[in-house]
Amino acid sequence: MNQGPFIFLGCFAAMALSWFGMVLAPQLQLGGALPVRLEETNALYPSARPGLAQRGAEVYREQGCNQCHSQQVRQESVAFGTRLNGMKEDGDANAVVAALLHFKLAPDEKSAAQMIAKAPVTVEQNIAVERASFLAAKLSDAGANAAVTFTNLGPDLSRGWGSRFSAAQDYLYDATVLTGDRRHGPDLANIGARQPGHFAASWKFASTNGVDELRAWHFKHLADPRSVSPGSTMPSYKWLFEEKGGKLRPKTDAEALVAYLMSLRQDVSLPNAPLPAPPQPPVVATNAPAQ
Amino acid sequence: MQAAASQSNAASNAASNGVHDFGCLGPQAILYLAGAGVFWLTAALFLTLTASLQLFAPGFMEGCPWLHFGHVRPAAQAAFIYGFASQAGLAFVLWLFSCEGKTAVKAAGPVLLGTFLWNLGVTYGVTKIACCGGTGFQWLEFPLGASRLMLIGYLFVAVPALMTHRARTVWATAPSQWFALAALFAFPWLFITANWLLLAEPVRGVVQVSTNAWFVAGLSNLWLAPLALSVVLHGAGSVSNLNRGMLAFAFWVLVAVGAWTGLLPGAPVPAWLSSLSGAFAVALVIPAVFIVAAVLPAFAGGRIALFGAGGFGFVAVKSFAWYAFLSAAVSFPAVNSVLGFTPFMDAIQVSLLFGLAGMALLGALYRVLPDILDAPLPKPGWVTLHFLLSGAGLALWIGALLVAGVARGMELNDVSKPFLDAMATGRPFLVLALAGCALFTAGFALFGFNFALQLWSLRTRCNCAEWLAAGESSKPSAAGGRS
Repeated sequence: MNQGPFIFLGCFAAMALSWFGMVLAPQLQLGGALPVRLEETNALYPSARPGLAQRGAEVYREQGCNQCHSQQVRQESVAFGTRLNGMKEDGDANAVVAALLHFKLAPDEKSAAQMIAKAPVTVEQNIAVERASFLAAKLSDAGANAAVTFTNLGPDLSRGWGSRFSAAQDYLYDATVLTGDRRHGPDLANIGARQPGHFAASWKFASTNGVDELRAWHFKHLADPRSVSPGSTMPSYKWLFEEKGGKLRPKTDAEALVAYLMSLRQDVSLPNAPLPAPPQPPVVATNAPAQ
Repeated sequence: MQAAASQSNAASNAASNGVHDFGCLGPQAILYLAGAGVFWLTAALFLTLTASLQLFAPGFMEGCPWLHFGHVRPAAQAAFIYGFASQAGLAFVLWLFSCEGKTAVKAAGPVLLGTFLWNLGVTYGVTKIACCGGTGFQWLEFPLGASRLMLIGYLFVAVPALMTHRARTVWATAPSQWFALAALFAFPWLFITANWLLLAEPVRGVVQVSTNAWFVAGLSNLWLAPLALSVVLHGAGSVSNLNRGMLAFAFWVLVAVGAWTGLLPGAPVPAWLSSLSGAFAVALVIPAVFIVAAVLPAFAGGRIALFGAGGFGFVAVKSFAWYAFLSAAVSFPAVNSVLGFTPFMDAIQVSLLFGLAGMALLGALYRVLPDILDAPLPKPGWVTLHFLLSGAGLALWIGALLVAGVARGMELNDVSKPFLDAMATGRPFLVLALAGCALFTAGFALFGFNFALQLWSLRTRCNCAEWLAAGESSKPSAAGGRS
């Protein structure tokens, strides 16, 4: 240990190893990632943000918003369940009722029959994936349309900050990836996709709550946070506004920042980060011609 | 000729007085680095106090775009890491290599130039952060221009430090020198790579996240921690024989695992990467345990006065252990899901920055400054007061952040609680954390006054300005100095 070169070589080797592991390996795995084509819409995800929102990303960075807000939704686990979607065309309702009773999914025949009538309905949830698959198979054998379902779990998801965990794909077009390291304010990974009435615009929600009103809420929140979120510790960003005719008007940077915030959404199902499928509506008989 | 003769006389006088000869411009080089560090610590503490206050009083400085939380927090971190810790650490390394190697500081002139360039870079960088020019990357908020200046400045300081080490007349190296050498080697790799891959030719997507995490972990464990541990080991090694085998093992484990530890569970990176990083974070406990086990006996038996400059090292090594254990704890997914993103993470950061680096390097300055100025501290009693204030402040600061983090994390995990109610839970503890920070700052103010008085006392004994400008030839007399 008396030789400087010996220490240098040891440090060099250790640094090289950590660099290979933490920098080069992720680059080899993810550096060439491309947008994925979504099955439902055939659209590419993610797509580049519009120009104003791209400028907004710079404003977000310049103002240090990432010092208080994270942009990464964490997920703790997945809960599986079995859902009864309805009856097969040639299914025997009595057999399905018997299966529901046999596997103790319904307390009595009346409840089992009601389940079939109310389908789609979750017959059991928060179970192991093996049990969920087993029940779905048995109900299908009995003549029902049954499927395995899953629910993404975690406090972040329960708070409505997202429907799944944030995946590497979500950040593909971010020039600077600002995942944040503290949460003095809520996570913003999905601020553009949250139900405005529930999470973003508690001051007013009705079915009429539209994009313009949401933008107006964001402007008001930036200019005077505590007027819309009493008790918030967010500072005012009044310098992003100018006074015209006795009213605060957003400058271009404020417009851009709000455009960026409204572009933040991770609500697409990805192969490695799937979203729970919504319940299939029951098939209603119509006289439309068959496809 | 006359200057050379007087330098030779000064060297021989120094030798006869038992005072180490740092060579021509050596003391100036160390003093300017240390003095700049003290200046930036003042700025960092002011910014940290402001940021801590804004966490529960958002109206403070609300109308000032430069001093709002989004700018103050990264500026405070940058001022501490690059302004204070790096410069005070480099000043100590120069002093250490010169004293342990029993040789003069080599190429001290370029060190002065390097100090100037480094400070120019830090000033530019902090100004850019305040003026909306931050890059957004943790601990790498400076723009590329500032980093280039700092890198050139670093080379002007580090190369003379290595030259000084190479010119040593005592061949055997102490453990403190191993850690200092490792830090000198690691920093340029980390700094160049991170600037290149995040700012100059940015990698895409979440590779930025892993690269930034690698940089933060490396800067923590292979730059700041080794510099601070070098101070502690030098202090402990000067009074007792340290177990070199244990320290060598701890050194290599720290070097091997240090840069791997930055990613936390739940980060949007491949799962294998965050799992691997978490495992290495747990492994960081190994060097911490070995270093504590090797160093603590030196503090036993009153060989080092705990309530004095030596106590700073004691607090520093304890803080290192805290930092390692807390970092290991949050690398477990179950713990991280509760405590991640909360003030608990700030407690870990304060343990590293102010507990380990801050205390160790302030303790080092108490040893280095009287040595290079060849004058005692005017108010030696203030050192104890500084230690008590800083120690109590740190305990309050870290403790309050830990409690605030746990309380807030549990409330945030209870989804029946509205978000703003959950955020209000830890607020009283954030007030206590601010009080802890203020105590630490008060202690540092005593150090600052002591340092200023020391410089002032030199001025009354000789032409200090001439000494500062001209070098060793006009070094103040050793009258009243250390013998």
